[in-house]
Amino acid sequence: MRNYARISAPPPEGIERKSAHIVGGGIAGLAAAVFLVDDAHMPADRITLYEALDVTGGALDGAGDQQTGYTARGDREQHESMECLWYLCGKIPSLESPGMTILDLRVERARAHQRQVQIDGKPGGAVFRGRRAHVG
Amino acid sequence: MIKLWLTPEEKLENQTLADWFTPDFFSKSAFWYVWSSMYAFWPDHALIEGRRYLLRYSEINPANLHGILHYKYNQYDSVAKPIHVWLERHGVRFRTGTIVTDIETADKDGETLATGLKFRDADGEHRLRLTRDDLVFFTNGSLVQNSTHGDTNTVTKFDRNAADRGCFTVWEKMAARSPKFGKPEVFLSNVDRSGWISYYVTIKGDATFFDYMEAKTGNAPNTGGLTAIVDSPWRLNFALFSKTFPDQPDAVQTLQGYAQIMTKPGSYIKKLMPECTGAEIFGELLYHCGLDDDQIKSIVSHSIVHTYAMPYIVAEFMPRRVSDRPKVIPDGCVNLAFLGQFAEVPGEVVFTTECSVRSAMMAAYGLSGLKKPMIPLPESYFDVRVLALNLKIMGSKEEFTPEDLRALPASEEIVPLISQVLNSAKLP
Repeated sequence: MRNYARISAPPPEGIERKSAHIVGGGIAGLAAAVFLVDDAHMPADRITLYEALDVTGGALDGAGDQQTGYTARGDREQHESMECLWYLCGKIPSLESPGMTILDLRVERARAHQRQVQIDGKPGGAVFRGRRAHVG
Repeated sequence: MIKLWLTPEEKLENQTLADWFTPDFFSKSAFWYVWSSMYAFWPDHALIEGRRYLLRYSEINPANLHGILHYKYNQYDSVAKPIHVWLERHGVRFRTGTIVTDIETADKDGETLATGLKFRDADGEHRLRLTRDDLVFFTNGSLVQNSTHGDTNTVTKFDRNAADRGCFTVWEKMAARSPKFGKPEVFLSNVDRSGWISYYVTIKGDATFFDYMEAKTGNAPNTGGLTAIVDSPWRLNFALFSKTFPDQPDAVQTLQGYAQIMTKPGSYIKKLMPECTGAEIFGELLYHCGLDDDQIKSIVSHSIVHTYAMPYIVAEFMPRRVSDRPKVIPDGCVNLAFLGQFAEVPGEVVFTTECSVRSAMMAAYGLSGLKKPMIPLPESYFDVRVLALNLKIMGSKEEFTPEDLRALPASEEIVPLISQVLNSAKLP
């Protein structure tokens, strides 16, 4: 029942005369724009996104080259239960692999393996023990 | 732990994890080590958030973290850029280099209307008048707001300027005018608690470190996630990558990490992390991984380090009341929504991309009038199999005995909570 209502959602009444002003170009603002265009049928040219920086993406950053060094301020880990994110990614074509979406290009890292590795430390936890015991 | 599952979050407001758990939990339990490094929790973080994480990810068994997904490249090239390109091709207008300075609202007949948008760009100050057909979507906080940059040979200082902090400043102006826009000061008043430094290293022409780690752990780079070094006074975390940028040559290696404690000197570099250059921070990491002085000097000399001091990176974890964040669509708002990590998305957890995207979906569907149901939150904690698995993990048990089961509900505290949950049960 839920799924039927998701599949068959007609354009909202009067959507063609509405405009959107999206303040902040991080992933939340970008996602809102995608959902307005693709799900709510708002004409894309009625959507304006305002961003203070010269680049969008917010905390989802990544820049640089091998001369100046690559860089990013952080990295997020994802889980399959992040269903709104995957719904979004399934709408967006990959820039380098024709016919693929960015959802198709996510990778699973065998993280469980590394978690159980111990170095110079006591067994038990699933974390990395450094070379010195700092606390008793 | 079971009591926390069963206690509604309204009763946990303003409390921290340290208020709830005993000191032994933080110093001795393997559960805490894994959990805190995976989700970046700290004992003085909000108990409400901790409980939400426990429930939201109750299906993830901490002993076997399968299902952790990454993107092929860094998150800009893999996610943000393709979305930007898709939107641009569809005709969405981007005004980059444009600083929004205020969103004006007016209350009338029980409704709240966004009436004006003030912004500044290269041409000067502007004010746009808004009607009820102008829908405003405002991301009222950013984890990387006012972040500052250092590199291999320079130190980055935390930006503590509270008068000018972009989207937070706009949120503060709005919150001063109406209580339904939340309380930004709850999250923003303690940079010492909400800030940390991250580092990103590019190593060229020296495979010593990656080879060493592969030999030691048996894992190729890129096969592991973020790993915490428990014995580091800074509580350093790191992750090794093989290739995270489309144009990155195979011989160039990258790694990334952060630290949680800014107030203790390091083991190799006897300084606080905020006093260190990128080279010193990387040296401290190499030392903890077990490399000697000569190796450290050589590896660092082949590396470029970028560091970032982010004053609000875990501001979203500060102890709070539920109402301290505005609802995605605050009561009575007809053309105004709040998005991101500082908007209240019931049941959802902060510090995730999912939280931002879910808030965007709620806002876009809600303000546009689209009659499309939200993707429901996974409520795996209602699954008796998930509950059984979690009980086993918490009790470190392979199998339950009748005695174990009798011991559970025998607790005087738990029984009333269970009856409360049973009596308030309702279908979604």
